[in-house]
Amino acid sequence: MRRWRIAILAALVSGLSAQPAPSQDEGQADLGNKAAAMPTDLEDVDSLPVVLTPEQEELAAEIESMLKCPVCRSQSVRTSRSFMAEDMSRRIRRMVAEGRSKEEIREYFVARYGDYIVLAPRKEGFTWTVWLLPFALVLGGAVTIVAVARRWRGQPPPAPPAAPPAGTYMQELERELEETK
Amino acid sequence: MKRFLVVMILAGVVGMFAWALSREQTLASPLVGKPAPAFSMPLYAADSTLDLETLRGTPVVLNFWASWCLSCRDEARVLEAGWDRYGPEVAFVGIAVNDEEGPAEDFIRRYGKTYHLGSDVDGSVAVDYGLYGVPETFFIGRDGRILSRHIGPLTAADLDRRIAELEAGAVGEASGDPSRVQPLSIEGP
Repeated sequence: MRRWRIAILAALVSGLSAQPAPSQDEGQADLGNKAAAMPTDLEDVDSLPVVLTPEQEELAAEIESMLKCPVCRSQSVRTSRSFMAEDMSRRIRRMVAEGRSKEEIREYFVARYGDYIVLAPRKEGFTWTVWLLPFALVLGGAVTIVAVARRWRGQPPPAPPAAPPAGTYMQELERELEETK
Repeated sequence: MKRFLVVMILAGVVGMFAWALSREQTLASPLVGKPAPAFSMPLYAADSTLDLETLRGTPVVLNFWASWCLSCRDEARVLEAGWDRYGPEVAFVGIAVNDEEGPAEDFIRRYGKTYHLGSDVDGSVAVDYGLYGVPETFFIGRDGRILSRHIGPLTAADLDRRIAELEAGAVGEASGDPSRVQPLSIEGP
């Protein structure tokens, strides 16, 4: 039902946009007015696709890639196909169309979901550990390897295995040779 | 001694990863203590809309639900009983998310729900409240601030405790059972 509504509204919008082309800025403002004035009981005018300029599309895509889909495992809003991600994407696009900056939009989502919603955490406070820990681990690993290698180099070569007493060995060999004759 | 240090460092790293993973679905909401995001939504029962702002001065139990959500069935009668007991001094508002009109109305009829029930038509209210899934319930004080959030189905005891906090205007601890929240990752049947 909801999908049908969206499809009908999208068709209405595309019909409106097919009329004589105003300038880009006028076009966007006009679209908002026309959508608001639609004589309909369809309450979901807010779910209309938001028309963005190429620059705004780029910014929206960047923000969508920066934010995590809260109901997915390690997927961004941009890559997720969940309904939650769709709703978030629609909100991002609307905020971009309103002229909000990347930082403002990021703050909007952090204020609702916490820092967890940002895929790459901010470089401040405790979140610095997330950035520094991999480097610290690599450095620690390298130091350990060097220390172990030095210790190995300092040790004398391992002694050859101790030979069995010659007498016993020769006697055993001769006995076996006798048996095979 | 050195071995002990290495084990401690490894345990610390594993602990941090475990902690990070456990944050995936946290009970706490950054919205607690802040003004409840405003919204206006169409109601199912009447040909009208509800604006949250009109409820300012009344404590509000704001419940997000869906007809396809099994946990929402468990709490449906609890919420209606709560409305019978505490309303209208406490306002009860139910917002259906990612739902269709027919199943949502059937759900309302089946559970005899009579409080303010409407629909988050474009999912914007869910985003404004930082929703993960359903059911989730926000408790909004008289001053319009969010005092607490409960995720998962409410029991009668949860509701009584939260309403006592609401009436006292006190910020409450986060509560609930994340395992019983159905994430908004897919649309219900």
